[in-house]
Amino acid sequence: MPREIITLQVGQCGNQIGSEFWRKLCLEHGISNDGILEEFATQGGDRKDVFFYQADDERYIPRALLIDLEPRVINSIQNSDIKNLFNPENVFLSKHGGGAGNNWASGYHQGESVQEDLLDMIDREAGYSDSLEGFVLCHSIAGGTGSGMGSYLLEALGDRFPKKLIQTYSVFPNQNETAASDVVVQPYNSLLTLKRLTLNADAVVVLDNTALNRIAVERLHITNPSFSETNSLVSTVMAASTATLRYPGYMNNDLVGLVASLIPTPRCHFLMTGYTPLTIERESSAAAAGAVRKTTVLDVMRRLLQPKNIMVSAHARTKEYDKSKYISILNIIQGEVDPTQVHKSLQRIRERKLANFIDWGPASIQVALSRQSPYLKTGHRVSGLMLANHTSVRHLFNRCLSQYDKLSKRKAFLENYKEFPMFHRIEGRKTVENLEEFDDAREVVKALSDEYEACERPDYIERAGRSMMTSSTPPTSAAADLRSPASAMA
Amino acid sequence: MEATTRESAFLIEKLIDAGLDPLRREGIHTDAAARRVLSYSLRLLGSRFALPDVRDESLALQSLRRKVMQQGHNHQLPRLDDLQLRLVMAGTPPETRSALFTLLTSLPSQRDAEATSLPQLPPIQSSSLHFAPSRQQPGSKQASAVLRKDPKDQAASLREAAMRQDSRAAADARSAGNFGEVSLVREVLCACQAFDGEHVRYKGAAMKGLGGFEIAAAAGIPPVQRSLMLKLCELGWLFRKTQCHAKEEVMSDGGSAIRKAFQAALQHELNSLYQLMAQLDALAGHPLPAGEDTGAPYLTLRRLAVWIGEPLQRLRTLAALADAVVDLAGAQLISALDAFTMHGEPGASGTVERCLRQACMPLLEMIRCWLFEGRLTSSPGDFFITASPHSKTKPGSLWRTGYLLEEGMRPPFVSAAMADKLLRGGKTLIFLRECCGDAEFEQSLARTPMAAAASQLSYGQTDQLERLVEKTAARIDRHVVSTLLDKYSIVSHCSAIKRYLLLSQGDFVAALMEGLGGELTRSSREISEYGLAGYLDAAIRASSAQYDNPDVHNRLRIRLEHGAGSETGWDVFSLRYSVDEPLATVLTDAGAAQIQAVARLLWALKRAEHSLSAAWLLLNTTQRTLSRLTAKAKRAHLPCTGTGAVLGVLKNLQGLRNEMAHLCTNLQAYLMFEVLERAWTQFTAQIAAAPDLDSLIGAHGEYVDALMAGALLCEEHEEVQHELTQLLASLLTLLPQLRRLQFLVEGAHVEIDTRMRNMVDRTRAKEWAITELDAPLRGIDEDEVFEVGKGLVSVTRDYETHLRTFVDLLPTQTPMDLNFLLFRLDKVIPTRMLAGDGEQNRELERSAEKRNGRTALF
Repeated sequence: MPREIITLQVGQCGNQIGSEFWRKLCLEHGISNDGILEEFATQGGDRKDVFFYQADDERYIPRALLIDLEPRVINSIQNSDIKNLFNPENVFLSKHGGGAGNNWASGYHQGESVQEDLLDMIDREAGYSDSLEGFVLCHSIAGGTGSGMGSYLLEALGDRFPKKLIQTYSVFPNQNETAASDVVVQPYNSLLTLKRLTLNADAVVVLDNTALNRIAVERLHITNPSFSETNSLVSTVMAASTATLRYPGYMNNDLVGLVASLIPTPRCHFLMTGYTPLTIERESSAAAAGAVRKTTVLDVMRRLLQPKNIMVSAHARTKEYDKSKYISILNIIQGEVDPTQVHKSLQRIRERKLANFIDWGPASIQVALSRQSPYLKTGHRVSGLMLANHTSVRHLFNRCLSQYDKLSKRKAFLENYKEFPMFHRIEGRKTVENLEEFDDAREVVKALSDEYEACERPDYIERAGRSMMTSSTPPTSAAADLRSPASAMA
Repeated sequence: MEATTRESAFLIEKLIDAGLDPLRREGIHTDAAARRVLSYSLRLLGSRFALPDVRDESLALQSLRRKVMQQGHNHQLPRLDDLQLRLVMAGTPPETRSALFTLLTSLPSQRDAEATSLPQLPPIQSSSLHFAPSRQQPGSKQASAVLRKDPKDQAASLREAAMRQDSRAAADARSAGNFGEVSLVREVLCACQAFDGEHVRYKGAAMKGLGGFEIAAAAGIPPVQRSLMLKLCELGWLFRKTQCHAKEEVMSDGGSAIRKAFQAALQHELNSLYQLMAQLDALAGHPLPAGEDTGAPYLTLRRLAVWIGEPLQRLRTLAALADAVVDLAGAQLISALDAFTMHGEPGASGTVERCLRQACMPLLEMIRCWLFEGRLTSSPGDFFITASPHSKTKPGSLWRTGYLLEEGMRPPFVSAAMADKLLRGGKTLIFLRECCGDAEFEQSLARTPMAAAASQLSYGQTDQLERLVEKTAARIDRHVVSTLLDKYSIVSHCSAIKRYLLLSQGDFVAALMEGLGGELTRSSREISEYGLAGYLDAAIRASSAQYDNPDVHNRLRIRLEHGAGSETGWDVFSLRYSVDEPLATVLTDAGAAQIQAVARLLWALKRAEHSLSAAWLLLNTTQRTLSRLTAKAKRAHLPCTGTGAVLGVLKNLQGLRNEMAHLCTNLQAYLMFEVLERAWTQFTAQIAAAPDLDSLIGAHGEYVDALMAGALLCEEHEEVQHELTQLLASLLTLLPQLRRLQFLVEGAHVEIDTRMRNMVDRTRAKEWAITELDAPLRGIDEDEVFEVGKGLVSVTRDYETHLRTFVDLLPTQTPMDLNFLLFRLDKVIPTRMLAGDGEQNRELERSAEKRNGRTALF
């Protein structure tokens, strides 16, 4: 019962980061580009069947679905060195191949129209699993396919597999004012996707393109970072965040356990990441020799808390910094680490108040130690990934809301959306625009942002208790007693 | 050679003649004096007093000159020069000359020599008594041997020469009444050989040397001789006594080999005495010289006294030894003998040493057999290592109880440390042979130079023995450690135990939990080990445990320890890792039981974590269902009751789950980082450095103890443990409440779905979607929700009570770093719990202060 995880990579961005992720997993498990286990990797100990299954010819095949509405990226994957890795049946390309034109509504609608095909593929893939744990969706929230079709898939998966976990790796668009986005309707797409991420996903790993670019520029000294370079960063994060699933230890061996410790309240399930040491994969061999540093648990944990290593935009992190708080932190540390150092490091971090936690519930830094792939030669003895649930993520949503508001005030670029049934209704012979969906999405995202803000206050739980009291018709003492004796007295 | 000796005797005689010349000139009769001097010189020459081995003539001459000058006879120096010149002229070989000068040097000064009485005779040297031959220097030994071997020689036997001194005594004897000296001597000789004579009889107990010799009063022996005879009879008394000891049969079967060896040594000593007696008997046969001493051998009482002076001493020692070790055997006998080596008299300590050497031979052989062959050859009571009964079937009993050290039996030359090494060494050989089936090592050990050296050990070579034991034991220890580490790969077994029993192999545990979880919630009577075995196999196949050694799989078992029968499967379930010899000697049953206790705690935690994870997912889905339900109800304009109440309870469930999960995670992290991993790191380091099997066993013991102490499973923490068990059990009560809630929500969702489908159908059929006949939606029964809420209150109360007691009970002073646990639990007790009022509140505040105080400590 390997608790399998099926990966859905949707859209251009999703497929790019997805294929990087698989490339990385293959390297870590010693699987060749054709899915054949390398000679040197036959010694077990790692767990490949979470993400791969073995075909009859012993080849390891990723539990991955490659979905796009235009063929460019998937074609390039199918012409690349890993062309034989994926199961060709698991590739979905729309028949006309026209893409979604950066239009969320188009992506969503196309998804809806081919739902039979998609769900057949997913069902088949789920059939290969003994005890499916859940789905991982890789996509961008800004474009058309990843956001629109991704949104549709999120809803469809929730209906079809209501008891399975859904985690997403969602690339948030570059929100730098200066770097003019190539997608003008990106605020619309983002908002609509965010609604589904809020309502239909169990955990969202936020990959902020702004921050990824900044990291590439500042930390890796690449003047004009390309997608492939930032994607390499993303794949590193993805691989590290699944390390405890693939190299089982005493704790955090399943995805539920992993995210459950990070997400105390279901709504607040947007996770930031930080990674150290940061290198670009293909430079690692050259850089490794020179950049061997002494890394201890404390070093790693301290660096992970440094803003420059966190993959979320600077504005989100710095705004109202004093108020923002960590809801939870999980540090996954890979490599040769003395486990007995963990306690000392935690103590040191607490003494120096390096992390500011919420007041309304128990919270502390959780540490998971994981093995490092023996087949990858890195110059780093120890590497660390931080998955953190931090209230400052709300600034990302707020930025999204404000950008949406700017556009929607002018009702700009709405024509493309109105073509699709979700955004119009037919009154008689006329089609009338129906922007309820936008309003609804805005409401959901605003509520999410508010929820995060509320988390910053110490009375978060008590508010919840009161809300229960007011909503319940017979205010029995039992209900009042539940959480807060104080309010019951009052 | 003989010629040289004769020549030197001649030379001495001439020298004496020359020395006596002045006396002769004065008309003094000097022949007797000359003979006396000559015999004395020769005796000196042949005596055991070592003559310095001087080959260098000039050196000898110089020392002679020095002596002469010291004595103030400077005027004699020219005569000395003259003597040398004459000797050279006479063509004497330089060796002879140097010997001569040496002799002169060692002669007493002239004034002493002129005295008529000779200095007291030193003890007689008997050729048969080979007294400590090593003490004689090679040169003089040769000389004396040569002199003694030639009775016809003028210098003849020194002994006889000495005897001749007693001519006056002989004359006395001739005059003594009826009793001829000869017959008295015979009487005494008889008595000395423990026979009764005519007048001298042994009175008293025949054995054990009680009683003594008596001379019949009627015999009328003059008192002088009588007392002398009685004195001489002491030898006989001692002889008798010693012989008793030597001949005594050891009663027990087989008897002590060491005692036998000692008795043999006694007998050997007595035999040499018999030889002397035989000689003396022969001597006693000679008639007494009538008048002038002709030099013919004869024996008088006084002469006899001289003869037996030395053997008497020896017999006294032997008798004392025999008395001291009466009833003793084995090492105690040796200890008793060893005490006598402190004897100041060289002769006595020599005798003791000879006996000891004999007596130790079997002991050393036992040591050799034990250390090199792993065999106990001793008769009972001899050896300080004894085999004690141990069962062959009970693993590890050979090592722990099979062989014991008897502290009281340890001989003095074996130190306590050495005894330990010996015990371990031999035991290890037996362990290798019987438990590891490794007999080859013994053979290879027998081929080592150490084994050869061991068979040649004798008493007194304590240092060598120590070195030998040290080296051999080290070699055996190295071998057994490497056998266990490499051939039996003990570390990989320990690692398997850690991975499977102590749950470090997470995927295996998850798979097993998945399969077994349902089964184990049933009553223990409904499940069987056999029935569950399939789940174990499935879990192995489903996890990366499948790549592990099949041997490891075969050792892994599910055990159910059925008790009263009212338990659930979880209460009786445990995983076992079966080990056999030789691993079972290190991985003991007791250790396995302790590991099982730790494993039980880990399983309880894992189970709680599993349940809380399931709760998390269920909370998420329930919340999602609820929001879908609310949305649908809104869209269909169907009021659905109870959603708000559910939302509230859900929030509370989330909060509680979060706290519980936090506790669970932190307890797990504590156990993993601070207990399991720490102990494991220490254990592997110790194992790698372990010099011998005992330290391997010790390392494992410490490892298990560290686990127990860290997991608060020691006896002194029983209360804490009890509370922790309850606390963990309370974590499991959340999920059922959530399930009830989920059931309510799902029910309402299904209802609304059905209703909506009906509405769609009716719309299609051109009917009103909603009619007056439609009952309002049942929705979610709020009373039921409040029931859940109530249940939740009691779950919360339960949990919080147990948590508080647990944290309060946590010992502040423990060897383990519990600070870590406290530190981690510090945020587990939420501030909310401190927000109440009244007595409870203050109490909580106190406990919070206590906690803060504790955390402030580090």
